[in-house]
Amino acid sequence: MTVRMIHPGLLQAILTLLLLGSPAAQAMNWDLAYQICVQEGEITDDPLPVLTGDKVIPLGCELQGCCPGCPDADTLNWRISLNPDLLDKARLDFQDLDLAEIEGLLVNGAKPELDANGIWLEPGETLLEGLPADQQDEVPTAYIQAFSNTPNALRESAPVEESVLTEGIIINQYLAEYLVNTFSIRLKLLQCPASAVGDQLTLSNLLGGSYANLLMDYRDGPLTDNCKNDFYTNTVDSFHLENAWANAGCPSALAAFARENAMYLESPVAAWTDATGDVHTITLEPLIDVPITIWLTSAELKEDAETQLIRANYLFQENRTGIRFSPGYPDITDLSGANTLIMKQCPAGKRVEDLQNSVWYDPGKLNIYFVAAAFTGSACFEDHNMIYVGTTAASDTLAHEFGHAFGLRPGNAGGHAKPELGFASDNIMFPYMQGSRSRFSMGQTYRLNAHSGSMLNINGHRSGLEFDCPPLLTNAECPELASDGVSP
Amino acid sequence: MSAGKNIPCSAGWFSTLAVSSALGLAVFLSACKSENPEPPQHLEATITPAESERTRALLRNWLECDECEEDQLQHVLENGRLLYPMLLLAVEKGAAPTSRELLRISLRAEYMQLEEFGESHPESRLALSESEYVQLYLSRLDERYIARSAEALSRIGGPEAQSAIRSALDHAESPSLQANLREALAVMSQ
Repeated sequence: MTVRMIHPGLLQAILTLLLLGSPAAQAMNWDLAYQICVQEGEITDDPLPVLTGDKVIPLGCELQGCCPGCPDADTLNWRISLNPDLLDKARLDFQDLDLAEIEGLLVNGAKPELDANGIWLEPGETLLEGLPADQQDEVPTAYIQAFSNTPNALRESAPVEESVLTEGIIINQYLAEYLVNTFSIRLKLLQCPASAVGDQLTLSNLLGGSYANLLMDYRDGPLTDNCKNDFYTNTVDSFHLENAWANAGCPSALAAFARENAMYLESPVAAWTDATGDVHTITLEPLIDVPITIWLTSAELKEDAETQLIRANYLFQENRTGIRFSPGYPDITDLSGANTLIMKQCPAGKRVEDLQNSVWYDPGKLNIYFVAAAFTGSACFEDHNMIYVGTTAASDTLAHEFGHAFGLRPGNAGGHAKPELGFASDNIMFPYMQGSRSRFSMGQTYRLNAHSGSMLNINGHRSGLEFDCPPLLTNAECPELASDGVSP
Repeated sequence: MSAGKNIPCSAGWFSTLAVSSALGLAVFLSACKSENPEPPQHLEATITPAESERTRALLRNWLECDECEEDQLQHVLENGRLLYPMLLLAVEKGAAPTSRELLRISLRAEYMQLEEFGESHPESRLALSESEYVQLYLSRLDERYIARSAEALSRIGGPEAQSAIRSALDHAESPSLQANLREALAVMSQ
């Protein structure tokens, strides 16, 4: 069994767009989404663990003062919704609640059967009353585990190609009737892509001791409209697929994403013929090293710059982008002169040219300016080789701005991974900084590399095929932005 | 005072009275009657749970947005009267303990990932200890909340806002946060 965040598909995107007309609808503390792939041998009536207790829910209000009009209540109530079509049961384990607090809890109006510090939840709605409301230094937490009703979930989940995720668990925290915090997890169960007897794709020079994700378009039947688009799978060496026919009118492409290799992209794929037994071997290239220049406008910013860069490199590797950033930290001897020109935020108008013509700018590279101003970060509109990072940046801000520079822009046209586009709150391009942002979809990863508007291509750091794939364009060359695969 | 367009009454008036009795609310309504076009149900004493959730989300979006390109601040200003007490608390205390705890747990997990990454990528070894890493980004969460709530309050105005921002400035350690708070006070004095 595997667990991987994935997008909801177009239908959900449309529905969500209709439902989320107001910005208020983004008020989730975290809203995660997982596509869970079940191996054929694991499809039984036994409950299958799909969340294994690493998701934490702190008790209490997400903002100081809780909410406008909130009553002065001593206790917090949780309303928990467990989707019976997907889940058999779930378990909450509390930490840092004292015994009296645990013993005082009511579940659906009755004293619960406690198992250690945890309670079991049945599918459907559960009202949990009597949790402490006033959180100060020590905030109690609950860890959640969930178990699927696998056969049901496989029946109820959307087909692979639709990739719609369903609400699996919602935990709303209330003071009386007033909502003060929300956590939700969307889920989809599907059967893992199985090997077939037909053709074979073999990877050569796969580095890093991990699997590669594959994204393929090919013709899968004798008719010219037997086109399989955006088929996702993964392998550590070879993948046996059904017979991939000669493309004959169908989109034909192959992309491979690995931890320690550059993204591989081939289109069309000439190796597939109408006959079975084709063996196509692709050789993966090493990571693309992208030189960047980091300008520190104050020596005190170095620690943050180095740390954010390490986090960005980790996230770009973990998401198999094939990109590694190699920084230079030039000395700024004339700090006051530099600060006069660099100032505190992205330049505009003539100031862009002034900075470009100065010694504090490296043409043909990303220039990252760490400045002593209380803002998070900006990828500059007038020169996509300029990024500004401020002193209220999160640990993932630099990775987020790299995403903008590499084609995931503008923010309001798909550059930001909004819920209405099918993204979860842990996407690196999510426009709000709740918790930890750690994932790119495969549709985003593809664009970082293949989009002709990515500074990776414009700066000449990558060679190979490129397409005009702005974030919201989906066509034969450009997979849906939020589309993703499963990992083994 | 520079007020948001839908904030005809002094928000300072509101914050004082919103936490007081029904009598205080009546006084407030009376004081604002001539300029306040909004019906009484928009006041805190009668906020419905749905309205509360809607406005709470607007505030949270402003405090948490990254590039903030979608008028998040304007949405807060348009609901400034309802959000004023929460903004005062945020400028004083930063993020809520529950949100800090969620981030603290995330940061500890991140640190472990980065430590492991550094073992196989020597050029990417962290110079910070776990507690330094957690503290660096936790303090930034608070700074962001304080800076942004000060920015909103400076546009809403009112003596309580001015006093809260001054107090935040007295306690702020980061020079960049101090600069933001001074700027907020300067906006208020215009």
